[in-house]
Amino acid sequence: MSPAPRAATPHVLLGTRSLNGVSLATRDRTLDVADRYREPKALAVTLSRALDAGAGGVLGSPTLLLAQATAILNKPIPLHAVIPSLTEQERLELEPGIEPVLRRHAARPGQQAGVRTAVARFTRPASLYGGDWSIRLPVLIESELEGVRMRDLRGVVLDAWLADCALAAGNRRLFETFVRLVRSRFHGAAGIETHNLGLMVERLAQWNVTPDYLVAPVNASGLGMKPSRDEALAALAASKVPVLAKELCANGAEFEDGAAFARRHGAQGLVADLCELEDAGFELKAVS
Amino acid sequence: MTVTEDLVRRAQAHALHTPRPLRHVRVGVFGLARSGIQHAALLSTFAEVELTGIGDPDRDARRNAKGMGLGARTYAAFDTLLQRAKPDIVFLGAYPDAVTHAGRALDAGAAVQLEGCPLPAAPELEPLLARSRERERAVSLALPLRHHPVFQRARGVIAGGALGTIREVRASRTVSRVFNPVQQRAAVLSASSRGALSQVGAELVCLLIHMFGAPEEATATARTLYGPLDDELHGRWTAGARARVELEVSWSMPGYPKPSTVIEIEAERGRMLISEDAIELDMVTPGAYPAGVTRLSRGDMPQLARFEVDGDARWIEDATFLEWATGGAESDTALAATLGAARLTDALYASAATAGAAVKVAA
Repeated sequence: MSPAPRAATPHVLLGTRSLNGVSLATRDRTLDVADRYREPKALAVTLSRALDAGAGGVLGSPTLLLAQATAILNKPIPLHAVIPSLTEQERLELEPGIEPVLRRHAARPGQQAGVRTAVARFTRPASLYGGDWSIRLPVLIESELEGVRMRDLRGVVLDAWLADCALAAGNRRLFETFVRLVRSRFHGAAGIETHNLGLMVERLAQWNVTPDYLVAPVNASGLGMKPSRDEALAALAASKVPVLAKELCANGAEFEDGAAFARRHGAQGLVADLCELEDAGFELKAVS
Repeated sequence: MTVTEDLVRRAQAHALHTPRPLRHVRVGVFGLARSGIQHAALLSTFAEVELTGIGDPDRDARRNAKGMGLGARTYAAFDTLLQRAKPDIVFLGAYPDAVTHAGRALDAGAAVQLEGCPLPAAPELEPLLARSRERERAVSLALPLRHHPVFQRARGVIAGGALGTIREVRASRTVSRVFNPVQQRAAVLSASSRGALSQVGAELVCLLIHMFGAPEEATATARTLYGPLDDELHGRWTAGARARVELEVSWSMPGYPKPSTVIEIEAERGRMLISEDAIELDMVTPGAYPAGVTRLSRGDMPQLARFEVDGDARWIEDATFLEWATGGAESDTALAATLGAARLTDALYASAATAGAAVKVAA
């Protein structure tokens, strides 16, 4: 049986991951949604409606678009920031790692490191520790969260792009460092996104690492559920770490059916992506 | 058994079988850019695989791979990896010396999986195939699209004859990657002296040959927008009996952050549209599928991959090769089976270089 939700476990979050190309929705659908939310104002309206309907915040990378949308609204937008923030193209072309992302940051025109990033770089210099995912992780986090309104930050989520490679390689120290750092430095929830729920739950239990939540695909068709649909559902039920289900509508499932399926199998929370919602206010109200 | 029956049998078996290594193996990975890191991560998840060595001439790449958490020893030189790590199987990423290194690995008695994008020219690959036969070691090209669940299923539908005689095929592979000379130069430096067809379209060329057979001659025209390499290429050939095939490849088309592959087939009994999302059959004459539209989406396909990094296809491909190299059935991306794609690619480039003249495809 799954444990009771912790106070920090969000019940429902609005996901913006599809805007960065992370979605099992069809290409046409993701393009439609990207087009629909090209302007910050459109995203701001949906954010506002989602929060009014009971969403506990937003799960997404801290992009310029998200920052512009939240700036339009005159209310705090609880953010669970997925890092690193990658465009779809970067996701497909960069080699997974901390340094490639930091190099990309440095190459951006007009990019200046903030004080905290500079301190993190000074205490964990690339000349000594370059390439070490665990030691250099704080530099990545500080640099990724520059510009995020700290009063809005409720959690930091490690992107599956990094997390699943570290999981495969058995990098326990990375996950320990991540959880400890997010809780102590940002006083927020430490989340891990994974597309390999079965192995993630098994290894976190072995390592005695307990993030505040995992984010993973859960849907009736088993799309994106590894190592298999049944094994992932068993892991979901047995997980001591709360799981937020995403990709609820994979393979054309209705949103409410997808949400009910995930909850029935032990998901403690839901991530409803922009891609899966036609009317965020109406649909989120039904599941909040 | 006819060739068609064999294709059907293989496609059906492939669709339901979860590949895995058949015994304990020592594995090495050299070339730790994106694909090398992904192979190393995936290989670490197989209980039967012992990753004994990883390597790259670039120190930062080695440090990054080590920092990911891999326990294997790192090597700067490929020959040192071969000597000390003593791998049974070597996975090679995309880098300029990869084909040469593949030959050395075969000489050392290891099976080899070589990155297929960019696709090396056929004259580079032919000696490798001869050597692999001589040494009786598996050698394969990594072409993940070939193992994509939707395209794998589509191949089974075609091989099963549901569409009848194929008349016309229009295929495209498009990605938004090169929009200025700097980006084109970066693509050259990373791996290849060829452009969009070799680096983006090779997987599709290989798939088309597996689906419809190899042609005798081909024509092509290319556009170079941002430098000396082909940014767009349009190819034509006739496959099998009379199927006309048209190919469009571009890495300079806006709106495609993720590679998009589309194959449209017009056939005797109906039409078929295949993309990464789904198969759509529009049958005029019912048979294996009813008249009208049938849609088979990704969720309707068997989910074979047991770990995901960058989609399912990479895992399926690596597991299939591991199985072959440890005594199982030959992989669909065996070099012998993909050499035809390299020959066709060479012919398309030769035709493009002569403004679209017909060029014989080497047999």
